[in-house]
Amino acid sequence: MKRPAVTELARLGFPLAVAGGAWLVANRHLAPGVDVEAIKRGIAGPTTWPEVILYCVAACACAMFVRMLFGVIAGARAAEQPQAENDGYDETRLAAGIALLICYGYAISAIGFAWATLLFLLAWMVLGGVRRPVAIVLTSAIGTTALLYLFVKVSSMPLDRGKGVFEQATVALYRVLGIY
Amino acid sequence: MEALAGFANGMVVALQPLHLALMIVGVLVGVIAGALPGISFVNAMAISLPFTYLMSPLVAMVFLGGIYVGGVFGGSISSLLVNIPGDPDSLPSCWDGYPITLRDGPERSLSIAITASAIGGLFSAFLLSFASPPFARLALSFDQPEFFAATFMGLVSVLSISKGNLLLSLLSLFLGVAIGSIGTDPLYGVTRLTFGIGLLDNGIDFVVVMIGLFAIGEVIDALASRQGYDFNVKRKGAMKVLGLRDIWKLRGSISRGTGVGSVIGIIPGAGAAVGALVAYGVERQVNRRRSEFGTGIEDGLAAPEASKNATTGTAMIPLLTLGIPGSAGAAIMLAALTLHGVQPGPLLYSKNPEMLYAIFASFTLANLFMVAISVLVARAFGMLMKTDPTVICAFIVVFSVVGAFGVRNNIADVYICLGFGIAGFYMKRFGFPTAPLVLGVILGPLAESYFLTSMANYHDDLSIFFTRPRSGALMALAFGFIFWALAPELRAVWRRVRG
Repeated sequence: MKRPAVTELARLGFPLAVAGGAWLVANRHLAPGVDVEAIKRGIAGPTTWPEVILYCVAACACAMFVRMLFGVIAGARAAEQPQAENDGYDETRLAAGIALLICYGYAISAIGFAWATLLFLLAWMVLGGVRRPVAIVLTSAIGTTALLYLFVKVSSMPLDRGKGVFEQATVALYRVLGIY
Repeated sequence: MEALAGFANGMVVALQPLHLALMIVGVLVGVIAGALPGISFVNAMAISLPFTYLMSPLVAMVFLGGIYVGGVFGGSISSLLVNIPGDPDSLPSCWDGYPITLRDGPERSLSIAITASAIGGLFSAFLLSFASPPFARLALSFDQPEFFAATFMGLVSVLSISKGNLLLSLLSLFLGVAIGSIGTDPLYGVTRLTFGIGLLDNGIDFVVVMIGLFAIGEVIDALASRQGYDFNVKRKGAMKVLGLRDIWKLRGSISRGTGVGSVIGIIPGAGAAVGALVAYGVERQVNRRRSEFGTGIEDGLAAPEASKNATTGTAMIPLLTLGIPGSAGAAIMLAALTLHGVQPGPLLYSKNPEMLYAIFASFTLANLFMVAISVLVARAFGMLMKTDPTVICAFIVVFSVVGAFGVRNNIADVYICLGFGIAGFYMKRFGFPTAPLVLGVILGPLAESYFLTSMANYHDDLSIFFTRPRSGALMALAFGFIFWALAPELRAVWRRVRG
């Protein structure tokens, strides 16, 4: 079956966008505000390596574009076309999972590792389809406690305690658990 | 003869109950830390360092050596059982190892990995015991151009993992090298590619990228997949060390991997990850079944496994003979020695040979104990995998987040890790190869550093990489590798041009 023209154009746009982006960064955003030529001693300055590599990125992307273009013209599927390997994804669950991960990352610094992890484990298991509330609560609570002992008490890692009232709550929790 | 007598005496010391017990504990800690995605054995060694204050220098080295030997192998357990490398060193083990797990069961892949690792590790320990002085001389003859050439060889090994998508793999590799060059440059102190974001000034650590792409990316895939996900691969037999017949069948790949790893191990900064990648690349070029690599070829698993453990002993050679650590693990061991007032270097041979030979003997024993302990940990890990995949995934995320944070105790690394996790999922979904990107992030900064210092030390003479005999030989090998890999592509283009 022939692929719709819009999809083909979108696929062709990917290497072009990469090449354009790499070119732009190599020319404008390597080390803005720094007079590289004044610092440079000899042929290799501080931006030489990333600049060469970004041009290599652009060259590869251009070569991919040319190859894909020939493939489209010939009506054949180009070898390098990024293909959706598996379409069997639940898009709602995917979006919720990604949102949950982003929230977890943010929550660690806002409410502290302990509380963020407890909430994350609860939410992830609910999202993943675990339907036994007791199991969810117990696994999250015991898991978080074990992780706190391992990383805070044994390994002395300075994991975030959160801000304001959450910091106080974390410290209180550590005292209750005998970590502090 | 003197070395043999010294080794025998060292073995007697290493077999003392306290030394033996702490070595076994060390190997166990190392294998477990290595097997947990996100927690590397280097973390475990760093965490254990304060405990060594209470020990004598020898006991500290025996304990840390156990963690080192066990940890380098441990990462393969999660690579083979869940296709998530526990450490960067174990990334090549996923490529052929996981397909073997799916086809022949985890027992087969683990048996090959454990046996190849033990052989590589034992050979390396014997080199450490009996051939330290010549290896140290070889290490001394290496300068920045040779280090660059060796790293360049590692980078071109990406061609061996391209699986027919050469351009896409190269694009991924160059993107990885570009990501690796974010932050302060190694010679001038100028920040590059930070786009004004302060969090990027210190660069992006390859461990963070690897955890994100492989662990978090895999977890998102597991959560969103409609077909369901099961980490519990079916067992198809008993786990055991390979018999002589199997070892004989894999003799070529194991010996090549061991050779590559032994040489890479002495290069400061290279370590087990580079050793495993180069060994896989070399095997992919010379093996009879090279075109089938990536589908579960046993040689493709045996070579990197033998190589990464073969780096452990030889990485200690520059440390003990010259005071230069060959890897992150060896650097922590250097810290342990200096904490106890022991200065490693040539004088150690004349001042304290008993301790030195006891360390050598304990490395040999650690490789033997690693076999039994790895089997036990792999069984426990296998039982753990029977848990609901959603629960496993949730804990993999938490371990990954802590692992990323632990790299520099910086929350920015957690954000970067999660970002790469989401990117890793989409890369997998759209068939964009992730392994070359990780390879680029690992080797790119090393290559840049060696390149810049070579230029600074050798008056900007680019020919230095080709005119010095050792770097010239390595570069010739690397270019041979490139032409060998590109030949089929070029032939196809030529045929198309000819009509």
